[in-house]
Amino acid sequence: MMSAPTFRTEIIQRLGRRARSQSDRVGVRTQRRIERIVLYLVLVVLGVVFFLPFYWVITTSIKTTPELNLMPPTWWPHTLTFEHYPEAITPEFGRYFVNSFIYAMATTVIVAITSTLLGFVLTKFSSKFGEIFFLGIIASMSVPFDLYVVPLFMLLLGIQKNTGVPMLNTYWGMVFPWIVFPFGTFLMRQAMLSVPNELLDAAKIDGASTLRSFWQIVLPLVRPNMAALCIFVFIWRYDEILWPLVVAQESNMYPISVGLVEYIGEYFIEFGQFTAASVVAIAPIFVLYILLQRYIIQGIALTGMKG
Amino acid sequence: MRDQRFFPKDLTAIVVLLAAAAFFALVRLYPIADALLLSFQRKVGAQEVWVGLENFRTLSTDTIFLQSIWNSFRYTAMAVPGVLVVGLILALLVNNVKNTFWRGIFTGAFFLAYVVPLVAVAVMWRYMYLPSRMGLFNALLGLGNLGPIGWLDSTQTALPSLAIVRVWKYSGYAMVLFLAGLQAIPETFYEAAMIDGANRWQRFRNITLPLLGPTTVFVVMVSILSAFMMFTETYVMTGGMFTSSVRGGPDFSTTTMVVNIYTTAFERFKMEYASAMTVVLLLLMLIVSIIQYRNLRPTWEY
Repeated sequence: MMSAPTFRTEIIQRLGRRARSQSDRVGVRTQRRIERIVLYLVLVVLGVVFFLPFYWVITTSIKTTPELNLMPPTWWPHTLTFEHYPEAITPEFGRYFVNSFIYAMATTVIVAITSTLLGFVLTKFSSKFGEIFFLGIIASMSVPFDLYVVPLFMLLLGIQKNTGVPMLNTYWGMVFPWIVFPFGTFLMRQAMLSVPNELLDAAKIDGASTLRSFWQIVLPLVRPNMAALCIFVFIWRYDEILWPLVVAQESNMYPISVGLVEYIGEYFIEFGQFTAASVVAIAPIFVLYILLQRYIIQGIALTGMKG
Repeated sequence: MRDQRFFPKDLTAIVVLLAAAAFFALVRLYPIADALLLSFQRKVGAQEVWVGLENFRTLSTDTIFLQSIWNSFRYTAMAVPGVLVVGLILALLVNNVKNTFWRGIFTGAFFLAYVVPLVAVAVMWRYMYLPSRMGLFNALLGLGNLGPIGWLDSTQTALPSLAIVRVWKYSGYAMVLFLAGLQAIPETFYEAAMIDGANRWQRFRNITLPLLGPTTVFVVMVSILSAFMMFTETYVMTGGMFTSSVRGGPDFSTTTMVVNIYTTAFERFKMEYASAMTVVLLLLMLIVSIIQYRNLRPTWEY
């Protein structure tokens, strides 16, 4: 039983509630929109802040020399010039570039081969010895490479003295400590765990040798992991300064990282020249990044890779 | 668990394993042992002489060495929280971008700094840190009639300036890891909290933050390890052009442990003394690792 007034109030209340909920919905929608605009705005501002150093170095490299000497500086180049680039890219600079590529490339190829092979052997031919070795690999991953610089230098010196094989001031000496790369071995071992053993058993029954089944069956399956490893090893070694600095005794062996610093230290050169030089040094990695961005970011997210 | 042989049955596998193990011992184990041995010796003429703990005794009163330890700690304490906080904020912001295209653009933009070579980056920051109004930062401060700040030229600001570079460069790396961590949190947790009437802060405080625990631990560990070994920033950004101070300066305020080891070994050629420093640094790293392992390991899973 419902009396008339309460019934009316009920209806009024319901209508009111509906109206309020509708206005709420509109309110929520505008609120969401405002939130989104604020979010994008904040991100764009942060993006500009993060990009500022790149903007500054690139614009500096294309300002004319008189403009570069203005104080305070101009915020954007008033006259464009590319004259600093040919000035910066001297034959020595080209040599540094080549050295960097040889060091980074050679290390990448060697690391890719040894890591994959070791990952294969460690997972598909499990043994006590392999397990002990893998423990050693894991343990050594927590010792930063920079700590090894002094004793590794002594090692190269010792090898050079005792065997007569030149180690210091050679590419070979720079690549030497990377022949077995703990992080790479770890990464490829993890990748190999997902390769089914049945495939290998089948290959064995068909009479394939160990190396052949590695080459033809396992390798194609772990290619994505190998590619990720290669990209990172290349980027890290291209950027490295301490170890190449120690091994390279003469300027003809300097990689670009050491060469850039020499640029600042030894001779006074103009702002335009060395900003141009650093733009050129960044360029290959930048191109690599643009081409493989998604791949690189996924690789980091999955493994947390870090030199 | 099936019975395991000490060596694999396959000959190729044995050869690969033995060769790798021998090489590993040569470049990763022998050097540590060598550094340890060398740290108890000293060169007299062309002869290595056993001097016991003398190198370590000298180290304990070597003010530059002690300052380098202090600098490494200070630098780590400044840079790591910065990387962590900025990285987390970036991740939270980017995670709210639902449009795939823009999400990719923002992620890529913040991550760029991590990929580009540190040496080139340090060169450009050095130029922006010029102590005169010619430098970008002092020019910007000049717009508000502030400064100029000496940045790399003053003992007060030199090390913090280097820490800023690290925050800029590694936040994107932390962001990518945090983003992966955020995506692993099930959406249902948030829905349940919303039904219970939890507001945005409560949801962040009680769901996001604790569930990012393992990611945070990883980011902290990696960042500490790398900040503690800082070398490149000091090597590239101090000494030489535009400044009167030497590398590691002004007044040793940017001389970190690795910088000190490098100068001792390769500029002053005191290999034994540098080895003793290496041993001390190795022990410090060991202690840091143990503390991290003990205290930062999450004790639960979800």
